[in-house]
Amino acid sequence: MLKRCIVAENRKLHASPIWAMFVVLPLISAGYGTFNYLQNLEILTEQWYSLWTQHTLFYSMLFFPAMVSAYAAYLWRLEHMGHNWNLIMAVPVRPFDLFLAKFLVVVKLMCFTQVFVYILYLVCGRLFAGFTDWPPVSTLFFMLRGVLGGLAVAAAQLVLAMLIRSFAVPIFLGLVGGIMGMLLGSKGFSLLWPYCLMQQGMNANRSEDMLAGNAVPFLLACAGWLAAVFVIAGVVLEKRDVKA
Amino acid sequence: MLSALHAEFQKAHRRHDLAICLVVPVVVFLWTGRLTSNDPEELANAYSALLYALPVLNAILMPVVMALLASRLWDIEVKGSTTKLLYTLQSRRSLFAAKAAFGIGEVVLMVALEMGAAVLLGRTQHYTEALPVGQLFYLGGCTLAVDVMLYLSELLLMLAWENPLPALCVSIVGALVGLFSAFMPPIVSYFVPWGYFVPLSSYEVAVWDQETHTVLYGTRPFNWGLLAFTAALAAVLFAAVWRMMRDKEV
Repeated sequence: MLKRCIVAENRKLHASPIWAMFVVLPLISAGYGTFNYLQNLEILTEQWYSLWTQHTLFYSMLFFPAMVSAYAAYLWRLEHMGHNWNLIMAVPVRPFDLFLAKFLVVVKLMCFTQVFVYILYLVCGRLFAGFTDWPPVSTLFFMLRGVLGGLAVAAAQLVLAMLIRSFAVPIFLGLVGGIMGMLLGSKGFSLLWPYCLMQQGMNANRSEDMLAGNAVPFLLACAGWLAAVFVIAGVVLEKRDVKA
Repeated sequence: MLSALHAEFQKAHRRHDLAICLVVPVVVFLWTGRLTSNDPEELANAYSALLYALPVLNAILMPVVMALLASRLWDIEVKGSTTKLLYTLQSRRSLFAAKAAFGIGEVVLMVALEMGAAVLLGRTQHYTEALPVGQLFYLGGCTLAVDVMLYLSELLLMLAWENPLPALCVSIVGALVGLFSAFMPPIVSYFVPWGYFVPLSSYEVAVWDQETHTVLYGTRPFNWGLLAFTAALAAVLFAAVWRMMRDKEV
């Protein structure tokens, strides 16, 4: 049943305008990052690491949460139309499978986005920044850690988009969540707020590894937040009456 | 017109638009509050730092907030499939006037609250610099002009697609481009309307000592030309929204 739910969710993405944002946002981020790197070569001296910070700083702090929010809100929008909530809650599928299918599809989009960001980083580094070597393997791990940190954001945004019938409000809350994450992260409370985790994982604002020696607490926080959001989603879907 | 506006107020009942108008100043308060320390030198320069930072924050937040307001205002008609009913039961002019007046009213409220939050921040953090009232009013006027222009552009997108996704996507991309334009050569920022908050700002960094981390802010002349252009752009968008609503097929 879960598989059928995933197929249905994937179908919603066919010819969707969401793909335009998927392409444009990382492209702008990469273009600006490369431009800024080339303009500040006297300060940014650590080549691939410096380019990574320029490519991912604003993306991971502000625009990744907003983008994932748009993915999540788009997948729930159809259910909020007309009497579709009655319909989907009456189909012979576990309610949590509906949520899980949407979560997996958002994660798929998130992975595609991260890979696209990394490809752009690689291309810009080789073609425009003129690096002759390949990026350090650690940047690949930064990208993967960003995906892990982003899982809780995706789940939280899906819960918000499920509970709030408006399309735009969860996206705004995603942006606010990213800003709060930036503020809390700068105070050292990164593990206490899911929106910080992606920023920490991506290592976007410094060259040295922010998670050096702290990988286990980071992974536990990712798992803990994800589990907490899943429990909330499960309880809401099982217990709450449909408002259609 | 008044009854149409009354209807908009009724539609906004329990839509929590006021909370959205309040969230923005709260975020601005928390964010900018973090930027100032208790250092006497910084407090003596704090309003300047605040009025320098606010346009950058606005460039990040406002495109999405304006799309949010436009979406809240029009999506209710899309979801309820009420457009046919409205277009036939009331004049299109009154429907448009009510939507525009209600949305712009919310924008005015938000900007007033944001400026109020800036003053409150100065009081709570004991800024020693005198409040530059003229600069604050100029900033408020510029923020209002850009916000209204962005709101009307998002309303236009909402009307054109009858789906909030394009408007929201454009706003997120616009916020990113607007933010980046703030750090690009000044000429670039003139081509990015989402980031007009920054070139309209009258504060600039006068002295930046990288070693001592000392920043001193100075002022530059008010950018009346760009402000007039922004107002003109808003007027064009206002006309475009009205034209689209007037000519839309039932």
